[in-house]
Amino acid sequence: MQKPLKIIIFDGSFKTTAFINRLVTGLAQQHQVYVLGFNESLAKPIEKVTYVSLGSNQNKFKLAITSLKQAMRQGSIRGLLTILKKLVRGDKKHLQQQNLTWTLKKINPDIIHLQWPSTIPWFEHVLLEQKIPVVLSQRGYHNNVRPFVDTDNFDYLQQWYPKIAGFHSVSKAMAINGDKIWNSLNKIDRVVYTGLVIDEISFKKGFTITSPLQLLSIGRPHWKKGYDYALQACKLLKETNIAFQYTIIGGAGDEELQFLIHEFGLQSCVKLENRLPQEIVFKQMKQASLLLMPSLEEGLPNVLVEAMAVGLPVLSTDCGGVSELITHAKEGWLIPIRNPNAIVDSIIDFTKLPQEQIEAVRLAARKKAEQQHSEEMMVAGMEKLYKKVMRVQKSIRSPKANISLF
Amino acid sequence: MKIGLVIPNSPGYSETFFISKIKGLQERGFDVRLYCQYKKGDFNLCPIVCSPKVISNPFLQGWYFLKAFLLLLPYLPTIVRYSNLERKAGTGLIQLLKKTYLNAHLLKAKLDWVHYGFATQAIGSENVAKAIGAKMAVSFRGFDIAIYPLKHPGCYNLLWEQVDKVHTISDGLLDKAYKMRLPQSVPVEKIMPAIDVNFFSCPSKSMALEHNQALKPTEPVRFLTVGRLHWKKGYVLMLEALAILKKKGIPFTYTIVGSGSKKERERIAFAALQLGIKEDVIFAGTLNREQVKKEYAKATIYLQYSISEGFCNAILEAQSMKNLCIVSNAEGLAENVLHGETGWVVPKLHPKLLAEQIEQVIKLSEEEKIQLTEYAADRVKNELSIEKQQAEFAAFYS
Repeated sequence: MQKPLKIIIFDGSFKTTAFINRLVTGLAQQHQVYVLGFNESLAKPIEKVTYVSLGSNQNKFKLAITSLKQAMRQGSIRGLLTILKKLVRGDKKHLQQQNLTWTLKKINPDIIHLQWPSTIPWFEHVLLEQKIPVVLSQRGYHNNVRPFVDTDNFDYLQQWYPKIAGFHSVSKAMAINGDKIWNSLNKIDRVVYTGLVIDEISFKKGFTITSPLQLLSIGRPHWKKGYDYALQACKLLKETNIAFQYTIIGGAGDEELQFLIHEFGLQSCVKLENRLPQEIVFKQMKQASLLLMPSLEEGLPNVLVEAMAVGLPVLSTDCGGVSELITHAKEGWLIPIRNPNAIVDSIIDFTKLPQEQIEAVRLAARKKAEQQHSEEMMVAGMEKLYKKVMRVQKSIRSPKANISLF
Repeated sequence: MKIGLVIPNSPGYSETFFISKIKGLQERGFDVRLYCQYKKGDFNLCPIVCSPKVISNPFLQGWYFLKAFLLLLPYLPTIVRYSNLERKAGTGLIQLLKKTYLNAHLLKAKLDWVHYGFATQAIGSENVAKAIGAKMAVSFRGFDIAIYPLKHPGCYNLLWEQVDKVHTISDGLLDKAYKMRLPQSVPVEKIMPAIDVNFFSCPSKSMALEHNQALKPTEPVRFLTVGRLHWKKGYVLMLEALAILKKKGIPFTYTIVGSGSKKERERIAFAALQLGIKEDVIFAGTLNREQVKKEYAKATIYLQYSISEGFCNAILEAQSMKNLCIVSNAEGLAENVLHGETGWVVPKLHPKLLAEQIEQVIKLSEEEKIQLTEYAADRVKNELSIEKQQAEFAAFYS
């Protein structure tokens, strides 16, 4: 049995996202996993995972208590004075940074895994020291949008990427984007696809297209999700007299979407729902006819993988890593971005497909999800990345070491 | 006559609408004072009364609360009247206390008119004017009528019952208000926004001619939009239209003057990137009045393809600066620009139609362009000047 690693997972919060939680759960079976965050507690902590507070973002009193506790643990008067000075100044960021430094010293991790590029500023001192290897995930907006529209952000990442020991990319497309920021012959970048506990997701049997046609989208109402184009498509679809209901789970309360629904006269056929628990989302997926993903850019959307695992046919824009998941008309259907006419045409085509063809696509989609997106594969892929990064780091520190192992 | 103008904060000197309104009223003998959440900058055009503070510290908030109620004691009859009106409207005791605190600055006022600068400002203060024995006016400005009620249905029901007079900047907004059950019996005055036509003016026809030189096929067309970066301004739709032109080989530059949230800026910049026109789009950011004037002077076609727009002062400035203006038909824009006479109005949310309209405008003869821009500038000068607006506001309260 291999020696367990001490891994720090950092995205700034204890709660993190569902997919980071799945990674944490998987890693915690074999390794010592620490989640650091700017919270004080978590309602449903993951078993075997150690949560370390760096001081609350919301509550100044709790931040002070956490900071003082951290200082006391150091057993140094100087440390205590430093904290007191920062408390008097109300210097929240520096208090949290100090707490992070002490936490890293205490844990002495084998690896630090940053989940988003926006967290790099917290670890600049670690990157400068080059003692603990840092892995960065390239997942979405912060990698495939912001650097390419914000020169300062691009320059910042270009400055720090060479100091990052290894990269995790959620898709090949994402890795290519990362290379545009910085590339090198020695760059370690591993594509590890998102993982699901597929066995726990039951496949819907006996699929039929509902009447009215039930269209479903799932995700926060961010412009990159392209819901404005989906609503334009709904307007066109309404003009064809095809009866449909379109639900956007997570879209409730969005001003722009509400305005467009009203503007296009879609109040009776489009519904914006609040965010829902995963089990209810799966239930809704089983009641729908088609998952519509009109995004302008994506890493590799978890919601597509989940819909494919459930057996809900998917119609998605061909952006980011989607084509690594779906071959057009094989595991789903692809359409160009920013094209409401293409969305409508594809929906109409879908309604005319023979049952056997839809069934074949559904089965192929489930198979693809099983083969490419199991939780075991995700955890194993990440472990391989960590170990490779550590071996390379070790070989750099002791050049005589045998590096042929990798 | 004493007018209390309720707006979120004191206007900056570039905010023509309120500044010219205040100056105009003062020149005609009105006593104007502002009721704001906070005072911004060194505004000293008229007295400002700030609303009671709302803070997160419960102890300090408690103290402010107590202080506000003590200072309201000399106004007991007004408070009793206000409480009766609120209780009649079904307001509970806790809510009544909150409302009394938040309106304390207005409840102490002695005014003839309480004028809410935006309909949203009146929410929660509907009974204040009656309680202090004043008349209540409200302005319809855009977002407050076209967007806010979609998220808060029925938010103006009480306002419609209490308002004495409505000011709208466009018929488009008024129509929307009627659809939200504003009673037809409420008196309404349409007073369109105005600009400083002396400042925003082209010195001569030759300058207009010079502008239009840029519409020769070999020269890039210089498009311009002035406005904050917000989804309702339709920037992505404009970029989609421009991308169509680019595919047809029409060279251009597109300057966007204005700022907004990082998220909105990234949305527009990413659209330009994906549409292949990143190099043709210039984000000029926030500019001062002089700099904006220079941008108008450089531009050939002014675009305002908004998804929602109350009226839009920038288009008035562009017309006054003899730009060829192409706009959408959102709310008040078709009243701002007369289709085929002072510019062109294109159905909103149809970037292909916008691209077609732009192409047609580019193909117009020089004479046609000059004739149209001259007429547009004259119309702004004669019908949408600050002097005319000031006179209309003075008449509004009479």
